[in-house]
Amino acid sequence: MPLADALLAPLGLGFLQRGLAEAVLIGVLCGVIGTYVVLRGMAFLGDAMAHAVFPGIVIAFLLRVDILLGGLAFGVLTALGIGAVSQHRRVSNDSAIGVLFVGAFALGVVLISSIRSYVRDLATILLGDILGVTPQDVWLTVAVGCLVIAAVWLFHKEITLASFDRDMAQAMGLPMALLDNGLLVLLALVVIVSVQAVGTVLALAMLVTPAATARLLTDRVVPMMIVAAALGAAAGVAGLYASFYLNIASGGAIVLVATAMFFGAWLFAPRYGVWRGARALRSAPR
Amino acid sequence: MPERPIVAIHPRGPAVEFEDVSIAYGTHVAVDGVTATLQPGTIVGLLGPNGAGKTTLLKALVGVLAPARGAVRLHGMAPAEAWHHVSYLPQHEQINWEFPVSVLDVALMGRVRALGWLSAPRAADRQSAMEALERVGMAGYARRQIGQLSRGQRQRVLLARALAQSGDVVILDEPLAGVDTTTQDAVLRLLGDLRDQGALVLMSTHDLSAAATRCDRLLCLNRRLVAFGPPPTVFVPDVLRATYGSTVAVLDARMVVYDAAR
Repeated sequence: MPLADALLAPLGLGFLQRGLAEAVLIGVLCGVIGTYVVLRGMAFLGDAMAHAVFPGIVIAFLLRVDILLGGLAFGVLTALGIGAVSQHRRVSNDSAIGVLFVGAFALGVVLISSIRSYVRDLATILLGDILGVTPQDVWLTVAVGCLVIAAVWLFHKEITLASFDRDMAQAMGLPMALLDNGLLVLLALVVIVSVQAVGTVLALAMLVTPAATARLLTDRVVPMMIVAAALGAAAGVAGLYASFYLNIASGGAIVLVATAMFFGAWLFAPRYGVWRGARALRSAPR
Repeated sequence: MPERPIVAIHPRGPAVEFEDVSIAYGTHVAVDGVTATLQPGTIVGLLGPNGAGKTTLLKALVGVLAPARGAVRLHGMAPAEAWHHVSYLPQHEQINWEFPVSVLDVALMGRVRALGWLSAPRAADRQSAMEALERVGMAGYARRQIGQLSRGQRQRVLLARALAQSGDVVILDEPLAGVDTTTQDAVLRLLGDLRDQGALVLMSTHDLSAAATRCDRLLCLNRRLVAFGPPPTVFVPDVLRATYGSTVAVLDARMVVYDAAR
């Protein structure tokens, strides 16, 4: 089969069209928010968020209400809980994250175990099912995407300053709690729509991997976001095709493509790659 | 190059007042009962050994830390309300120099609050950021990523950002630490200009010769206020001993402070 046919043939399939649209949207969204996650060193919190939304999604599933609302409520509650619990001088921030996110996750497991078909449902939520997304899911992602991109566009200079030099931002009287919590809400929204596609276990990879790759390729925040978004979307599309033709799990395939991109950049990035660094060191005049 | 005047606010009265200020981290008291009044149009050097509370005091002044007791006032206001008076240069170590921002990006950050919410920097803001970079001799590096600069160059970029804030209370946390002599001269000359335009310059430093020759007032801190006055009244054995403790040796009429710089 010629390459063009291989690429175009699946586009006739409705579920694959939706899957591709969802993969591109999530790749872009995760790239944009992931840039802040990587620059602020929030990867662990991102992981926490991906697990914390789990009970919310389960409850929403059981009550047949919108999973976005359930997930958002639990994501934000857990994030605020982490802030409150880590106020105690003997509980460090990372301990608080560890305790709360696994606790929230366990709550989700207990809740979902009350359903009869829970093994299959659990697998769907843990690993995602991007080929199973409905048109409503895609539109929900579009709506969340517009909101997130608009917020980033409008508050980019404040978020960047607060990420680069927190004391300076505070000295300028920027409302730090509002910025921090606003960013957490955006993170929760992106994680929830990602969980639908790649599941709670792999959502962190979509947040961190393309942005970490872009970090090796760029020197400014906005180009980093654009590259991360492009890489995330490309990984989504490539992973989905791989999953279709090789009959492998789509979420895993997408994340593996993104991981391969990261190692490619880690080794061969023009300025910051390891290979280039080693060569520059060898040829450096003594 | 025309010298742009700093903010044209010349309020009467003191620029900064510390009134019995104590600042604690948990149970550790870092600054204890400091009272001092700093006037506009002066350069005040903040002296003291490591751990004396210099950075802590400056952070309280810019509103990053809240005093456990006492009050800090800028032009009679609480720090949170006085942000438009403040230009701030934080300690070098506090900044993530690998962050993907250019030299111009950093200088423009000085304008973030003045620009206000929802507005992007315009040509005029870029121009004033470039002028600030020119004043510190860094305009030629505008597009570089900040991590590629030397320590002295980075310090000058932070100074440009502080200039772009155009406050009349200029607060600098060790602007001279670890910099080359070119940068040191450039920084001190600029601070002199700011003073002459009516600003209060308050800088912490370990450089006693710069403190003796370039500062109008010295504030000696060792958790408590040890002394506050013109350099000749501060550079006396008793005051230096009380400030630096065992790290100062007084030999006849000469004083040697060792281990003062990091």
